Amino acid sequence: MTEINLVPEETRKSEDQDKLRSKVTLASVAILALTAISAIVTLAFFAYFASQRESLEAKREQASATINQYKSAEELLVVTKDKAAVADKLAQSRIDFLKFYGTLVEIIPQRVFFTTISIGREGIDFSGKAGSSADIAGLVSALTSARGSEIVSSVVVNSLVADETREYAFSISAQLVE
Amino acid sequence: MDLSTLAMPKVKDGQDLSGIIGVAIPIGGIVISILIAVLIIWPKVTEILELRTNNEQLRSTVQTLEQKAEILAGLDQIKLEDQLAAAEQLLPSDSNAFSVLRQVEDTANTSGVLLSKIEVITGSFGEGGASAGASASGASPELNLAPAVEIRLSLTSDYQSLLGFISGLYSFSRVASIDSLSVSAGGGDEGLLSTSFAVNAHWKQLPQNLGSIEAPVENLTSSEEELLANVKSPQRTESAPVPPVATGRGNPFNPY
Repeated sequence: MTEINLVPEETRKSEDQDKLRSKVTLASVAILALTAISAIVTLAFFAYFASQRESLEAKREQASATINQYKSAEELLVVTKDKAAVADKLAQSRIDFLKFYGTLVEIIPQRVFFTTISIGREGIDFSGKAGSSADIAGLVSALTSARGSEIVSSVVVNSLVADETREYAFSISAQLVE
Repeated sequence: MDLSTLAMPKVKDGQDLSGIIGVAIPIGGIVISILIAVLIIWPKVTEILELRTNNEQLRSTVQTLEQKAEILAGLDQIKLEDQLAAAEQLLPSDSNAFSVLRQVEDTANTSGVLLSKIEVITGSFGEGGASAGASASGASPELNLAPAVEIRLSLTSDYQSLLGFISGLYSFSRVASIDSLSVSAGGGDEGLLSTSFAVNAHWKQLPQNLGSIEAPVENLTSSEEELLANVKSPQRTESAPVPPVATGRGNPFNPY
């Protein structure tokens, strides 16, 4: 009986091998096709990016040539810009003393005068005298008003002393509004 | 039926061989595919990624260059030369301390203030000295932008003359700033004021190089153009040249 079944077994083995071969062949074809497609796509991308680079290089060359053509104008612009930008910042950052005094004389009460006004980046110190307590109140009120706030902020009365004539000597500090 | 007499092994050998070859070819194909992927495609993909990054950088460089070329092409050379001359007046390339001194003296004379003391801070003279002067009094933020000749003044004047003097200093064609202004009333009926402050007359060296061709350039802003245009206005006082003096003495120790 064993001998009789030999042919079908060989046939079955052969069929299995055929199936395996066809599967491997199919897989191989699929992988080859995928590899081929990948290779083509990769090369296409490479060619695209390489041509893009060439075009960009050409544009760079052209722009560089144009810039070299205007070298003297560039030198003038760079030097002028360098100085003008700094000068502009300096001009804008400096303290406008004329505006400060112009505003101050407009807002202070008539019976107030200053003995010293020191203005620096760190702040302003006012020393002076006022005819009465109402005048000193008027001065503080003026400095803290909308108009006064254009020139000073953080107004602090440091000392206030009156003599027998009720004339008040005051010391006020504030911050400069720039 | 005697099957044992059939040449089965030969048939089996041939089948095995053809089976092995039949499987080996597709496996070989797979191996070749893998080799192509590893040795050709993958390095190319890496190259493409690098190329893409480089192209992005190149594109931005090209944009910068084209923008720069466009700005440069639109410039008026004659106007630029005028603006450079004005910029040189705003911020001279050297400290030129004596010219400032002369201007301060002239302004004091015309505004009617009496200068009781003029002190030029050491380091304000010469090419490299001004930066030393700047760092010595580095509290002012302006000095971080540009070095300056620092001149400390003490003066006596009435109120209107003082304002005129300050206005005159701000009218210099050269950018000057005033710092630490202290005004004290003299106490008399004349209304005289004692004032002290520091004048910083700024200067700036010319740039040493233009930088690379890819370094961007910027056009002047409207406020910068206005500032440069105002240098020539009649309200501005141009820097005064130091006048020549008579030279030659018989005895150098005789008082003049």
